[in-house]
Amino acid sequence: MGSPTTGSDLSDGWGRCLAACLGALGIGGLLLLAFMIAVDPYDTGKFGLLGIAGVDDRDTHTATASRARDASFDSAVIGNSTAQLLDPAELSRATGLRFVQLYLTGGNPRGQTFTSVYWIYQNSFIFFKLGYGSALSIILMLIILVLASAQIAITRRRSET
Amino acid sequence: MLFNDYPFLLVFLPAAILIYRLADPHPQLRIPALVLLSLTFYAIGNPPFILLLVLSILINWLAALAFARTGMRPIVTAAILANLAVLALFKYANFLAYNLGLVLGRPMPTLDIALPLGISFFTFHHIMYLVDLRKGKAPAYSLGRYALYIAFFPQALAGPLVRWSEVMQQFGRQVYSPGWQREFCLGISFIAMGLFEKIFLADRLGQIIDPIYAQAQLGPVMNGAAWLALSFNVQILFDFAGYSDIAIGLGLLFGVKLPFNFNAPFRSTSIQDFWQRWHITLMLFLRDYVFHPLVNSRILPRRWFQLQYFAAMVLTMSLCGLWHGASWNFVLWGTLHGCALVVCSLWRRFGPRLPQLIGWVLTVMLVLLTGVIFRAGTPDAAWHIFQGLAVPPNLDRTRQVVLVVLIPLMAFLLPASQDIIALLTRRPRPWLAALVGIGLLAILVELGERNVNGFAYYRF
Repeated sequence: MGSPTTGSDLSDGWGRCLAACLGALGIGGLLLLAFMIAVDPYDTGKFGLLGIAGVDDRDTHTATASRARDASFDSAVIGNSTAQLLDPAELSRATGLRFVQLYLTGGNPRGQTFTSVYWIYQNSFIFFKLGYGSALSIILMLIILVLASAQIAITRRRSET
Repeated sequence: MLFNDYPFLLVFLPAAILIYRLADPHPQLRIPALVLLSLTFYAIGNPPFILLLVLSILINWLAALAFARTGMRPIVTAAILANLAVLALFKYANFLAYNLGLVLGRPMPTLDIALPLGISFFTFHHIMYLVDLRKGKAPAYSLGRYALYIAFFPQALAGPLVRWSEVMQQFGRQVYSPGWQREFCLGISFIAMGLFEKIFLADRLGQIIDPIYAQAQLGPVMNGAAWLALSFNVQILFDFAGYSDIAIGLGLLFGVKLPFNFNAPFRSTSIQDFWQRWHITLMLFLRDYVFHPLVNSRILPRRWFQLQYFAAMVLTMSLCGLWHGASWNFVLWGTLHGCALVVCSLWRRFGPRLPQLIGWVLTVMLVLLTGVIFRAGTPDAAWHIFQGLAVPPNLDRTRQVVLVVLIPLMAFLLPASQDIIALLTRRPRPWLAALVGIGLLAILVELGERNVNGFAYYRF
């Protein structure tokens, strides 16, 4: 290359390059981590190993099951992410009951029916509010009856035409 | 295991470097350590097929040993045929059965087999060695060295296809000898460059054009998006060149210089030029082990030599297409390129000299248009894209259009990645190295953000 530097100088130079590259990578990574720990805007709980507690990432199905098991609630808003749900805090203030929101991201009728059944089961057999549970069951049965009859009527009409 | 994935970059690679650092002072440990690391690498990706790889190494090595002892050429011939048969079974059995079914008019049963990763590549490695062994050009090697030639993890899954003569002597060299820092800097530069090409260029383009090709499966793409689909060949360039650069960089970290695979192919001014710059190691393999034997064998009388020469050219390229996958689309793609090569060499002999710019435009157009056939999967889907070219391009989706213009421009204008790296590493520049380190960090952050996309050439 025609440069006046000697072999060992060059070797030192490349050693410094390697140190600079890996150093930038390592120190940059540590700085980034420190920044994430300091800010952690979403309270993700990903730093539990460092003793920083928080809510871990979890899908709404498990979160919903866990909320439905909470005895401090006695009423529920059930739905999915396609429509804006009623604000449980607002409902609680209006009615004096304690509402919890049980939503399933992308939940289908089966999943939402199951959520209602789970809520009824929890209230009837875990918290032993049998009267409340049986009232809810009858309402659920009526809803299913109406919807099922409507569906049968509609599909029959369509198959006749 | 993917090169562009956390388990590889953050666990396997550091562990492998550390293990090799410990083995390096002991010459007898270097090759076993690398073989063990390579087999682990292969086994983590696909545990059942590690048996196939190990058996394939053992059987071929035994065949080579038997030939070296007895000098019986049929042993090597049988081993080569067995390798081709295994490749045919895993890669082409269902394709053959399906087409046989079409010919006979009744459907054939299909085998439920998965393609073992890298089988095309390690089969070709065996064949290169065995053919040269039979010709008396290659010596017999120890089991460890041969196993490393087949399974060396930087190149085991998708190349570059390396000749035994290029790497056998490099295995087991002392890596940590004076000046190793420079090799490491080069290696890290290649890895960073490859990851950049893969993640920031190829995957970005892929996100744009994958939905278009999915739409082409269903019907003509008439919303002006078909023009974007033309950039597929640029995507696969950066995907595979990125992979090759990572492989070359990894090789350097373990003391092995692997050959370059791409040399700025989109700057070619003729299709012949293009094929000397695109997937160079595969084309050299096809030239030496398919094309030359076809040309030199006396199939036709000598006065028909020209005919045989050009037929061999087309046939080689058709086989090149078939190698990419068991589908008529690939065969059509290869045949078109073969015909283009014939036209190009005839033009060179008889036609007027074209200005370089026109040659470049024709080459790029041919490559991009045939790339649609390569990517579309079925002739119908490819036709749906071509129909869509009748509609003027839709320029509303600005972000996509900018990317689809910008990334191909990089392919058209920039020199090959190895030339860029050679330029930047002419002398040690610590500040540049620190920038590369920050770039690697950015790549790691970007990787964590998105799903990891597999390399296109793992499928071939």
